[in-house]
Amino acid sequence: MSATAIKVTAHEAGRVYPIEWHALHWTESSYHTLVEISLSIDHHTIDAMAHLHPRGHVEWVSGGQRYRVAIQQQWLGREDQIEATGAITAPMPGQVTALHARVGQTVQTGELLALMEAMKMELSIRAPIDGTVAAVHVRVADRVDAAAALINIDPADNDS
Amino acid sequence: MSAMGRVLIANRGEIACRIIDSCQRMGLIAIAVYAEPDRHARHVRLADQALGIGPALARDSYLNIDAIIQAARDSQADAIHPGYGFLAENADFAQAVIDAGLVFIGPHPETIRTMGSKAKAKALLGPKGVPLIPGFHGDASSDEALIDAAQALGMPLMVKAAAGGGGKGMRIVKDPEEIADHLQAARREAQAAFGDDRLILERYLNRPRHIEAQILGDMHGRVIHLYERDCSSQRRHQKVIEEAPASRLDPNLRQALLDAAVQAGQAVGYVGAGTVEFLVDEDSASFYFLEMNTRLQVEHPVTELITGFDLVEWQLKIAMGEALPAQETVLPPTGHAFEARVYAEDPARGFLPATGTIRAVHWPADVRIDSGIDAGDAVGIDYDPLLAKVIVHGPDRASALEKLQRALATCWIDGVTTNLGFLSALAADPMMVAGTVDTGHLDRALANRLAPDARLDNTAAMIGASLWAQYEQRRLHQRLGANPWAASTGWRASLPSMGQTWWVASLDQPDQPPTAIALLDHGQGARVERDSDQSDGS
Repeated sequence: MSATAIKVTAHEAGRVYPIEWHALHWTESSYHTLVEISLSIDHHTIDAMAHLHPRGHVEWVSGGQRYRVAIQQQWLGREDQIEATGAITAPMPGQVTALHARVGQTVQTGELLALMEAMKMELSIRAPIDGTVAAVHVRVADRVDAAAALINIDPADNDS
Repeated sequence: MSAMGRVLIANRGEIACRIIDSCQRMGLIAIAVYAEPDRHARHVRLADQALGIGPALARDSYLNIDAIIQAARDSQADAIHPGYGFLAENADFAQAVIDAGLVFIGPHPETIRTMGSKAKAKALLGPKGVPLIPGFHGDASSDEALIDAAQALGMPLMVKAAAGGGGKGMRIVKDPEEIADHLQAARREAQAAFGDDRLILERYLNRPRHIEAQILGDMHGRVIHLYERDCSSQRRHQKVIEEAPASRLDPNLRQALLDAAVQAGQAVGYVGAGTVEFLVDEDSASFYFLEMNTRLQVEHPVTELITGFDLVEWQLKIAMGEALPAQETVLPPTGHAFEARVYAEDPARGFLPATGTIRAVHWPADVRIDSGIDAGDAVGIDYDPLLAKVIVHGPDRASALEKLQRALATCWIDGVTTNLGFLSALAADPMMVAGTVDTGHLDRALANRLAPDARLDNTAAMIGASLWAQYEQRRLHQRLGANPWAASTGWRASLPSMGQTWWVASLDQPDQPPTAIALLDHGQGARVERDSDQSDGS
């Protein structure tokens, strides 16, 4: 069991249950990662040999069946952009359900600015940096695409 | 013994690579030939020397006898190894090689010609005591003679092209009323496929096993066998997983089959490596000669693993005049071996050939892989879709099969769709585990075999998403150190906003897949959720 294993909770049709990791053995090469897993999900135990590729491929064989899952990254803005400009973009397509940020407002890192909902999940949009809200591009109930501009924050002056 | 220093391999793909390997280990210079699309292929890279022989079309390159003989002359080759497929069983090619003053690594052209005709082979081997499927093997050209013979044989029976193979011109007749129609259709197919409309009749066997014997013959009149292989796992007459030795085979039947194979080899004065194929009818505990392949087989490695014989090395030694050891000195088979053929094909789309560029490959480390590809190689439409073979050996059948299952799960090919999933399903199939597969099993059961496990499909996206969360967490650890969240704010500022990352996972399958999302809350754990609308009723 790897020291880096983290707790994973499944949320499904109103039920919440843990995914239990019995084994997680990693073998890395320059182009992909092989991981032997044993996990329990919803009372089923799955033993598998899984392949992970940084481009977003998960592939594993279990019970004589090979599964392929494509993973798309939905970042809360890109870290470089956050640091440079404080531009916050929609992490995924969805609906804006609440808006707490007003133009001119001073915000601190981690302050709740907006809520979004997508695929029945609520997502908190928080300030990535200290600064001042320079622009709000959306209104409550707006439907936005992934990466749509939401809020801009001018960084606080580091010299002051 | 004839001197032989330079061997030209008139083939491509995994078998060319396999032959190059044995040549080089024996200190021989291996010369590759390539058609234009294969200019940078693996076999070209492995060879000591490589020559272009023409454009993509096989007819103009790998099947072009003149171009290959010319390449052999240009490269001062002493011998030509034909591999399998392409010109390997072309008697004219073997003769042309000999006429050019070169050594043909294979049997005499006349042997190839005789065994290339089912009718000729049976006419020769029947009187020598090799059991033939009850049937009508005469060269009759009239439908009347065939219908008379069919009535004598009884139903059901098979109509086959005398010149053929590969299922073309082959029909099962169950009703005597229908025989005339079937004969006409089979004649048309045989004429179209082979330019020869002569037919033979055979009794149709219910659920036979395909068991073949590996033989070797030398120039001094000795023919030995290296035991048998079971190749009953076939999809439309194409072998998928092979094993050696055959499981659950009556020892007397096995010995009789091996003796018959040696007899067949002796009957034609066989020189080189060959395979005598039989159908085994377990109901009647009998076996029947099917055909003889006068070449190295795709599945030869399973024999190598249980006998310790390097068959390519022996092909070369035999061609140089070396004598075979006596049968009595060949050790009994050791353990059990399996081979699975990895094809560039899409089982979800009727096994259509798949093309693309191999972006990355991962092979298991502890098994034998005979591969024709590496990362960066293109898989085109021009040739056979066989990419590689996964070959395992274990002390017994059960442990070898377990090793195969694990090896297949460890294989990963990025960039081209493969049958790896299908192979895993077949390796875990209850009939495969029990060793009761017959030649029709795969075609009968294919629909079920490929039906996904509904329960696991429902949760597959969530498993993928949560696995990805573990992977991301691990990568962050590696990038940022053991515990970035306990570190200074400088670390924290470089993390994604508030340490949360979202991932959307979707099942890569043709039908509408359920999708899950993973929220990795760094330092806190992860949460995966499936869209409940899509999961309902699935």
